[in-house]
Amino acid sequence: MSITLILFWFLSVLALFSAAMVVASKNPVYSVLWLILVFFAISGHYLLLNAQFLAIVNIIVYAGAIMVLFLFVIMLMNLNKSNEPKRNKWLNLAGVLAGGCLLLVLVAALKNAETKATLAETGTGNIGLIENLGKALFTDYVVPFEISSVLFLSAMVGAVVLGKKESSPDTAGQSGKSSEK
Amino acid sequence: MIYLLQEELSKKVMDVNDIASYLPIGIQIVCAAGLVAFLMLVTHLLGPKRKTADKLQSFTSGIESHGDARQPVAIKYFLVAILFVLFDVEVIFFYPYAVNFKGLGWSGFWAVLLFVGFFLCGFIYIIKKGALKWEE
Amino acid sequence: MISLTGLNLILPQLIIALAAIIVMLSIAVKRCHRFTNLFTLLSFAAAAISVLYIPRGSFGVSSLFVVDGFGKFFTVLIACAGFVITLMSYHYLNAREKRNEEYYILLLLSSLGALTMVISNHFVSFFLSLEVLSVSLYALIGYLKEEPAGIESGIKYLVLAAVSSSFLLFGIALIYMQTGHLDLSGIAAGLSSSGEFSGVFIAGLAMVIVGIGFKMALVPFHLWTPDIYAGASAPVSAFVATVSKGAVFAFLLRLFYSTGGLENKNVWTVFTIIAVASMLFGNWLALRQQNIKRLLAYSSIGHLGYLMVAFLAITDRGMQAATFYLVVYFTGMLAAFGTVIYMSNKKGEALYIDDYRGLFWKKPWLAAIFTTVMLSLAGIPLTAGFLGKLYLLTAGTEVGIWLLVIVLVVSSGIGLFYYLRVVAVMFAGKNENEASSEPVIGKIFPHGLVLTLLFLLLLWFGVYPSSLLEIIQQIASVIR
Repeated sequence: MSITLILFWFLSVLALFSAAMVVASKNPVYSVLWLILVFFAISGHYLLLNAQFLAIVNIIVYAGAIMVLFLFVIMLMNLNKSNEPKRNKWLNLAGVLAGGCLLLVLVAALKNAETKATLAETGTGNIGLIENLGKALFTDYVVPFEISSVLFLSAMVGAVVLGKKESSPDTAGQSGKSSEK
Repeated sequence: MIYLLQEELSKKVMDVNDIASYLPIGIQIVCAAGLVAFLMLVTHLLGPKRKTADKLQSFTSGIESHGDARQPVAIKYFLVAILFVLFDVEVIFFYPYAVNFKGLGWSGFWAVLLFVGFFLCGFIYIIKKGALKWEE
Repeated sequence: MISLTGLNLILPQLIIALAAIIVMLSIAVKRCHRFTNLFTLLSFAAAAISVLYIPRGSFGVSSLFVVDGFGKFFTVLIACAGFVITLMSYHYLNAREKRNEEYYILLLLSSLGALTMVISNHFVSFFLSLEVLSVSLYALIGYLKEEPAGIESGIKYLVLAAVSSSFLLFGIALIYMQTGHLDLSGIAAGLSSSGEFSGVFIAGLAMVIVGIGFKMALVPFHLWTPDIYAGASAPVSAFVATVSKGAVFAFLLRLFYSTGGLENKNVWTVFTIIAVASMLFGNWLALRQQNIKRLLAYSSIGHLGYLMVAFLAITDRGMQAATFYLVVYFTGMLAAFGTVIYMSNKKGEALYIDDYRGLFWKKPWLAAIFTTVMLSLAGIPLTAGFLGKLYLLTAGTEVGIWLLVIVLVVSSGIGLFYYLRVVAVMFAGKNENEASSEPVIGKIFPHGLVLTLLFLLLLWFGVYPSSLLEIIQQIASVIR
């Protein structure tokens, strides 16, 4: 067994276990911590595929920034034992059934595919290197690149609209004046 | 001379891109994690344990603790955080461009300029609307 | 980098994107609702007109987009719907919300998402368009801050749309794993070379169907629809019902017709089940609704089910019928929500059917328009809805998908009940507590004018459909 394979299995088990713990944890803050572990494991997978840039971005953006957002949301909602929503048993059962069906279908589909699928380029592929990524991004995918900036704009406006209290220009002017005094 | 040096360097970079080259990083991670685990273990083993009811209370600068520590946070924190994430992602898009700066030439420059232009407009909007103002 | 000719091809999208930026900057300088509204109107009109300057034929833009007759037709359709919604929003927002300029940025951006989706020829561009469309919609649905229902439905939509997006992404990943391509032509080539569909590909396709079905609110994935329609403000509901669904339907047509995914028996059967369930459940659940927006939500589920009949015919005729019906559906839904907006006042919307009691005796014109809209949605002769359904039926009977055709007829029969119930209420006796109600938002200009226009369109398509059909016949064969 090569070292890559060992690492692959280790990271996969780690990712799956942490993902299960995200769902199973009672405390939402623990869930977030487990989620960070999931992201690290996935970053490890990116490294195995020789995509260092994606690995680092995954850690910076998801494990770093997005997780902070998650924590803010959890603190915003003030999740306590007392106001925990009551779960319906039947709903849980339905969820388990639906998830099980999905798992069954995917396993059945992927079981036959194993013979056909080409091997992933672990360690040797150059697709994920930042240089090739940049070339593809700025030549073939330049239009989606620009559209993604528009996506950020809509997120920005949406956040300001929903998150900012003061509404009309009059009240903004008043608050400005009152702060001057 | 300099040209030759660069050639050598890029070749080395390509060679470095295999899994074995992560060994130093792996050793470092193991050492870092090991140190943390070791220190935590040692403090538990060596530190004196005298548990009293007062000591187990949460420390609030000498005042008697009251209420719950988990108060709902104001939404302004969230707003700043989400705006931070957006600009964070914007900066990340510069890395692939920086690596290919020479090769992409002007077309890449215009693409990035347009991208930054969109963000600049968003930034002007945010500043003008006082979304980053920390109102009490 | 694409050349100048490439920019020429995506002119409508560029106009809308630029308009969003300009509106954003203008808000940063000075707020003026009237200017913002007028500017948005102008840019939608410009986007629709700019389609004329795109050369004829099918052009690829960097393998991600394909600008053909089909894409151009839907571009115009979406731009027109955006125009109408902007027009109807002006008085509504004036009455209901203090800060209303950002609404137009979000409207423009989500329309941009829809506009890029209809020319998408690649999963990357499709997913990005979908995200642009939905991210703006989250904020639009929760826009009215005074309304707790709006914020609640915004959160609901956010969570459910995120789940459906993740399904979509997983499906795309599976398809990529099997074919090695993300562009539709590459997928089609990969499929035809391998001969038959593998399990992975079908699993991937099924997950893509989950994502798309959610956006189109087809039956197993429809649960969000009534809540979001009822919670969001009426113009936004109109947007969700028309632009968002229409754009996704356009991509669905492109995806399955250009890759030949429907030729697989299993995929076809899944779609048949979805279509039958949508038609039956949509119309059946609408029967019990007292809230007019919920009624329209369930009715829209049924209508999307009707569209699937033509989609499943897999013929040129089917595609033309689907396109025609979609235009009729757009017109009808916009007019129906337009009436709801017209009847709303400062305190709230005219949500319940009882609010329309005796409308005929107070506002005969409005009642006539609303009656026509309801009859068109139900599919009564002399309205556009009838002809649309007729085309759907012929498309279905031509290829002999009898089950779908029969269900279409039966569910239309069920649908008749609740549409006529609304009509009957309007002609019933006068409303007792009308004296206490506030004046409605609707004004003759521009709101009444738009409603009249939509009303005339419904009649025109119903009596003289060939003008529209000729255009559709030109574009519909291109997609193959």
